[in-house]
Amino acid sequence: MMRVDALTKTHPGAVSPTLAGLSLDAPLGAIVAILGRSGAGKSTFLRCACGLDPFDAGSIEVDGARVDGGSDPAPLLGKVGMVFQSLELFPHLRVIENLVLAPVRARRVGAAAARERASRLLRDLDLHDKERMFPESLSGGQRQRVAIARALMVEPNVLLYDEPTSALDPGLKVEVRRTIERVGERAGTTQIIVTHDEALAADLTRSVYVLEGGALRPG
Amino acid sequence: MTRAVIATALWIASAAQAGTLDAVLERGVLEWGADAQGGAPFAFPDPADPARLIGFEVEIADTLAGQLGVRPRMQQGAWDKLLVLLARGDFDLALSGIEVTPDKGGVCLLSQPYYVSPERLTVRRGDAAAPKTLAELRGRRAGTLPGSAAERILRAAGADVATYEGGQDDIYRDLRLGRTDAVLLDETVSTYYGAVDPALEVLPGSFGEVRYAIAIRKNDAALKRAIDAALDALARDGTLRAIYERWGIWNAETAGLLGDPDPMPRAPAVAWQAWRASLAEQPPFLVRVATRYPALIDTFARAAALTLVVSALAMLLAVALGAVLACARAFAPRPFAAAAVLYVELFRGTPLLVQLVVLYFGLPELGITLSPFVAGVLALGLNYAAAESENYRAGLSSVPASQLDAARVLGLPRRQALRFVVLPQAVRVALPPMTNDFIALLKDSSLISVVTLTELTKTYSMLANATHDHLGLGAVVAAWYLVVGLPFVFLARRLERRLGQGQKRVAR
Repeated sequence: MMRVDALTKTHPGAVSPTLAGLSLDAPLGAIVAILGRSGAGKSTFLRCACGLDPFDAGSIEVDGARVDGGSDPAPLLGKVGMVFQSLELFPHLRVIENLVLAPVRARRVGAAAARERASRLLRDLDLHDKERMFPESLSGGQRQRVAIARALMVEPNVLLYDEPTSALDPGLKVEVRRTIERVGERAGTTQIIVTHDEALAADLTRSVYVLEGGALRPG
Repeated sequence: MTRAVIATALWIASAAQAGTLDAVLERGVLEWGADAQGGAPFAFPDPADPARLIGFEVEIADTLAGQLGVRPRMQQGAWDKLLVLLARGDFDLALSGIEVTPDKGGVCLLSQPYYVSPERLTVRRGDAAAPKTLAELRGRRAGTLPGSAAERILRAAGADVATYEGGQDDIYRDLRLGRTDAVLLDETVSTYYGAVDPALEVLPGSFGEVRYAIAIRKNDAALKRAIDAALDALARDGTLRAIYERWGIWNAETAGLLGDPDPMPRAPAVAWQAWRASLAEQPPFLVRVATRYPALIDTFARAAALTLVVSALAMLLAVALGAVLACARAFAPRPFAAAAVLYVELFRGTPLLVQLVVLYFGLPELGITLSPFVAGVLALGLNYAAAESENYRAGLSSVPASQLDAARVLGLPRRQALRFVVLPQAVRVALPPMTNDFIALLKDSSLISVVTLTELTKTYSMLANATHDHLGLGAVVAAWYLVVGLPFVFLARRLERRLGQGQKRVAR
């Protein structure tokens, strides 16, 4: 679950706040979609929500971590996963190494256990034969599933998606939707999808919000 | 008798002042500084056996050391740096055709002169327009050694003076090639480089004269007295005369200096004849490859080892310091970043040679005296650290910030994110310029010859100057540089391939 309460952030030098009292309640296992035009503050919200950037006021709470405005957001790192719009797979590492890096190095999970879990996840996402490949030799859809698998490896409470369909062919959008649904069913992870793709949002969930004027309103 | 005189002199000397003399006697070795690149007849590699050092000053040093009851050991130093090296304490005395001039009084002590050489003018044979007098030298291009009495005479005559760092062979070759119209140098030199060349003519008549003396550190009066006494003894018992005769440089001026009534040589100049013979019969290239070059493997291998060790240590320093500098620039608080920028600009914006000379000759003024080896490694390492830090900075800035974000969101602490995600990608970008820099460093290490280290390039210059074999030995030294450098290139290529796995790029 993720509970965001009155999140406020003004970028240094900006006249008006980018986020002005944004609140959101995403229960365990829920899928929530946030729509918004470019410049509406989607990226700002995502960077705050995953712990990369601090915010001025309000609070973000997930299972086991709470961050308040003005304090270090680092406690959220590793608890809130993110599938970046540009995916940000590590190009120098093979698929399997992309997956096990964080669990082995940061979580001290045994290498064998991590590999086993990674293999299982890759199998679930139809990537079992791609383990030894480098990201660059995968297709766009495969890469996106690797990014999702990598995020799931650290068992985040919440998984954020930044524009998951923006770079994909129309045919692949269905695939993305199925993947997100599968993650919801199997892992029980709370998922928040930030997108401008209204069709995707409508297909995925009835919890659709619109980010406008720095706050959310039901869509 | 002689021994007794010396022993007495030694006793008086050591009673007067403990110093270098005591140190010499205690270690049983007299370290004498000279420039073997200066060439014949002073101290130079034997053309017939280039691994061996010969010359009339080698023989003087040998007999001097014998008089003191110690063994001689020659220390290489650039001729125009010998007095500074002496002052630094790199050897006990300098014996290398050092001219007696009034201005040296401030820098060092000079022994009594051991030789007088007239200045001789050499021109191209059959050159109708050749300058033959001092007056005719006005405005003419004339070659000589830098900082020599001959240079002063030429400048006073209004000649257009060309000076050479390379060696005497270069000076006379330029005259032969028409790049200069005359060469003014000591008779010792003209006898060996001018008179032996059928295309050149050494004009009769003296254009001045110069006295050679041994340079001793200013506070080493005891050593000076011992050396003077030894020289006296060697002059009186005819040892010096015999050496000069063998080398074909016995003359009336030196006879007068040593109080010898007979200015005409009595013994044949066997050493000069051997030199001349060695020049006349340069064996064909393939014969040199088969016989002479293999004999030089030891000499070159020692030099190559020095080049390699100095370069490798300097590179290690450069890599470590470069990494610190790059990290300071990229991640540290502003004052540290600014200091790193300052360092990079200072060390990459000033010549390596200046840095080396400052480290080696400048620091002793502050009481820090580095050994030649340490100074060489430090100067090269500090200089290349600037270049390395820029390589790493380029590597680091080639990795998008979003990669770091992605790693952090996965829960990797910043240090781990840098180590496992950013650095491997940065190194891949920085590796080719690093390899480049190592090869450049390997070649720049030739500069350490300035601080008395005889590495590959210096070895080449010395041997080529003594044997007149610039082309053949040039190929040999080139091969040695490649042998030393190429393994690193191959290693770096393999590493690059490994790091670049799975990443398609425009260029291989």
